Formats: sequence, structure tokens, C-alpha cells
Amino acid sequence: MIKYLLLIPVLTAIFCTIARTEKQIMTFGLVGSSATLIVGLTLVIDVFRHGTITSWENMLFADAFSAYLILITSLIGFAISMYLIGYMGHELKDGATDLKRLRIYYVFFHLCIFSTLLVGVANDLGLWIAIEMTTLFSAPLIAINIKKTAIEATWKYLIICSVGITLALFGTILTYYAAVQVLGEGAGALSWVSLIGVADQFDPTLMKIAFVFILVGYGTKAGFVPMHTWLPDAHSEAQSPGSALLSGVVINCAVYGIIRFHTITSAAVGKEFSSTLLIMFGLLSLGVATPFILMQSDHKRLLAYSSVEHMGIVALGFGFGGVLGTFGALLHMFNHSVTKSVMFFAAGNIRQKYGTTKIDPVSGIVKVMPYTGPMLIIGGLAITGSPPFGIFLSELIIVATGFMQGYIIISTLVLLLIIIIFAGFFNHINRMALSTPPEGIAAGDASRWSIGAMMILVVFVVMLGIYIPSQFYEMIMKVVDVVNIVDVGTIASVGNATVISGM
Amino acid sequence: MKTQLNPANITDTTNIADRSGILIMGYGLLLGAISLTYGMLLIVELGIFFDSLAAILIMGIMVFGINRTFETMDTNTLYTLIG
Repeated sequence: MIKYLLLIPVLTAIFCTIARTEKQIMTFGLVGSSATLIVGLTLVIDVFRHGTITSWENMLFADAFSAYLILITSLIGFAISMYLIGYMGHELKDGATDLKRLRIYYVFFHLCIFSTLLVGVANDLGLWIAIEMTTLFSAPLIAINIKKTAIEATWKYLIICSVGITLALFGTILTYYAAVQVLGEGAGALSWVSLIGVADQFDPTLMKIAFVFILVGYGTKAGFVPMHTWLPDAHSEAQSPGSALLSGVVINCAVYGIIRFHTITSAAVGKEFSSTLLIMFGLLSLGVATPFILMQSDHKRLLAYSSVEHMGIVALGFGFGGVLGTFGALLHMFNHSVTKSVMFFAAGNIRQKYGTTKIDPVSGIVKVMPYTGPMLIIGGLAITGSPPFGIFLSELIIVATGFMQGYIIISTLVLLLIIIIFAGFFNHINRMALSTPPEGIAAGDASRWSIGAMMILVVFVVMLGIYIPSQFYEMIMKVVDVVNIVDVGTIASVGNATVISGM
Repeated sequence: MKTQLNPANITDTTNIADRSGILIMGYGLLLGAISLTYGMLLIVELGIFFDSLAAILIMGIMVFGINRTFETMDTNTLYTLIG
């Protein structure tokens, strides 16, 4: 099953290279993403019914946490594929893109989906290769937009992320070194299951150094301050579908990597060390993103800084730890992905209508675009954490855990910063969405495909604040068990976990 | 379209410093890995080498892009996106 999941995006990319017309490329893209979504969901259901699945002599592996990442990736990937049809149709009509560039875009889009899925199912050391692949495959999605600013953003993205990921490789090598001392040479030292089983015998000093390298390395990719400098550039200069992919999908992969090592480090040296580091970086990200959100003049950069803020909140959730904190952080990852994708889709529609990404010239979206406008307001309210949307719930859970665990000052600061961000962010959205539209802008919304993609995601944005389906709740609780395996005290039973091979 | 290299460009290319820095870091780490652990699994090392190669190739393509849009390969000109 894992093999098919990885094969489908690659096949889609190949079909896109041989397609002859724009319509064929778009059809292949949509069919490919639908197939990825279906196979992804089947795999997710399989994992939650039967437990861990391995494939290819333990090189590929899917447990509850992987399945959760696959769920997010395939859902957002499908929505972006739908949106791409509307967005690229408009670009083609405008002459802003042509067949050749469309093909490159689709090929690298599907390769990027492939690499993000690979992050989910890669076992230990393979994870590093997969995360580096996400960088390489997503870079062309930014550079395809031949503008000076886009080229600059791509260069920064490539250089800064490559350096970061190299540091993460050093952390991975140190972890491997620690594992080899206990397990001996061979494939055993490469799998998460066997690493977790013996992590309490690892050399604590070594694991501390390793975790610092991992956090700084993958933290670069996740956009933690002060390694975030590439993120606002890359996320705002990419075309909107690419921005949604970067903010909604790729960024989660880096967090996934950090949390995997957080679990191992917690087992080796105790929880305090890695939790404190996560809380530190989380608070710093939140604090530094705030002034940039308040003073922003470009609505796509606004969303990019909001991604920095939300990754900070996710890090805080995992840092506060416990069942509740981890639950909140995982829920926040999902909520952030869907909400931020809706916002980037709206930003793409606005750019195509008004021809700018600046905030000042844009006004009266609700009057000009009857569907995008209300969804922009819903997304804006949701992303700033107002009730009754999903992000409100997950932020509430995370902050409540902070107070319960005794981090009074930090939690108060977080609340304060979230309130400031709400005021600043919603001020911008308010100015763009309401008041009278400028002269010469004809009323009329984006294509049905774009609106449809946004509506699918808005359903999740609204629903998860009011009602969490019991299956989804149980799914997240299983992921919580995987992350907090040290607390649960089930290390021994993991070694004997039901493993279905050959699937 | 100016795509050919001219000698004046080569002397002020900080992009070469950027790229060789990444290569040196990567290979230094691999040497470190070999001395620490007597080498990792073959497939993992192959993957790491392939990734470094692909990264450098893509950066090379990007340098052409920079040269075409900015008419220089000096990455010190890339300072317009701020705030």
C-alpha cells in the first residue's frame, strides 16, 4: 500500500510530462491527486485499524503519526489540484504562463507531493533525504514566476534551507552513532521502532547535542525564529497554489521530523531538555512574528509571517507536552494547514482580480467577489484564533495546558501576543474585505474550481471548531500515544507492535 | 540575452562562495559520519550523495536564472525583499 501511495504522484508527474495540451495536464493532475487522496485515506484507515505497516525491508514504515501527516498532505494536495485548474486557467488566459511553464509547474508540484509523502513513510535516516527532497522539488515552484523578487526568494530558500538541512544531517548522524553503540551495526539502528525501544540506553550528552542540531536544522525548514528569514520571501513570492503547498504541507514535514527526534531525546535524557528548547523557539517565533504582522504592507507576506507564528504555537504545544498539549499541537497542525490554504487561495484570487499583492490598493472584496470575500473573512477570523473555528479550539487547548503545567508567565505572554496578532491581522483583512472597491474593478468571482477548492477546506475550518468526529479524535489520540510514548510507558509493547509486512 | 560567462562576472560571484560552502559542509559531514560510525547503510549514503548532487545542480540552474534576470551573478544584489 505504501508503495502505491508513493508511486501515484510519480506516475502523475510522468504523465504530465508527456501530456500535449493544457487541458490534458490539468486533467492528469486532478486525477492523480484524487488517486493520491483515495489511496492515502485507505492507508490511513488501515494504519488506524491494524497498527504499524512496514514495507521494503523496513525502509518504509507507517505508524499513526505518519498516517496523520499523510492525511494532511493528501487532503491539501487534492484541494490545491482543484484550485490549480481555476488559477492556472486564469493565468493562461492572461498570457502570464504558457504550456511549457504549466508543465514544469505540474511536474514539480506532484514530485513535491511525492517527497512530502515520503517524509511520512521514511524510516529514520531516510527522513533526512526526504526533507531535503521537499526543498529541491518545491524550489522550482517559486522560481517559475520569472521576476527579480521570485529569483531572489528562491536563492535564499535554497541556500538557507540547504545549510539548515546539513546541520540536521549532523544531528541524524549523531543519533545513529548513539544507536550503533547500543544496537550494533546494521539496519536495526535505522528504524524508529527499534530506536525508541532502546532510547533510554543512549548516551545522554550525545543525544542532547544531536537534538540541538536537529532542532536548528529542521527548525530552519519549519520557520522557527531566528532561522525563519527565507520563509516570508519564499512563501509570498511563490504563486498562490505553491504558497499553499509550502505553508500547508511542506512546513509540517519539518515539524514532524523535529517531533520524532523529540520523542527519542525525551526517552534518552528526560523530557525537560527538549521541551524547554521547543518552548523557547516557539515563544521566540511568536514574539518576532508579531511586529511584522502588525506593520505588514503585503497580504501574502502577512500570511507567511502568520505561518511563522503558528509554527511557534505548534512548537509550544509539543513543548508543554502531556496528553492535552500534544493533542492541541497535532490538532493545530491540521487546522493551520486547512485554514492557511484557504487564505492563500483567497490571496491568489485577490491577486488575479486586483493585480497586486499589496494591502493598500485592495478594498471592497466582499462587494467585488461574492464568494471569495466571505471566505476570506471566515479564514481571517479563523487564522487569528477567534471562536468558533478550529484554530480557536486548538490554541485554547495549548494555552490551557501551559497554565496547567505551571508555565504561567509564558502562557500569559502567549495569550497577549495572540491578542495583539488578532488585532493587527484582522485590521488588515478588514481594510481589504470591506469598504468600497476601487474604480475600474469589475465585479465577478474566480472560477468555479477555485471556489470549490476553497469551500471544501472551509467546511473543515468551520466544523473542527464546533464538532470533532469521534474517529478523528481517536486518530489524534493514537498519534498522541506515539509522540508521548515515554509518558505512556509502553516502550516494551512497541517492540512487539502488530506489524503487517509486505503491504 | 546575456548568458555566456564573462570573466568580470566570475570574480565577483558570491554565489560560488555560497555553493562551495554548502558542498564543503556536506562532504565534511559525510567524512565525519564515516569516522564516527564506520559508514552508514549504503542506500542512505547513496541518497545523501544524490541529494547533494541534485541541490548543487538546481543551484547551478538558479545561477543562470539570476544571470538572466539581474545581468550579474553577484548574489550581493539580492537584497530587495525586506520586512
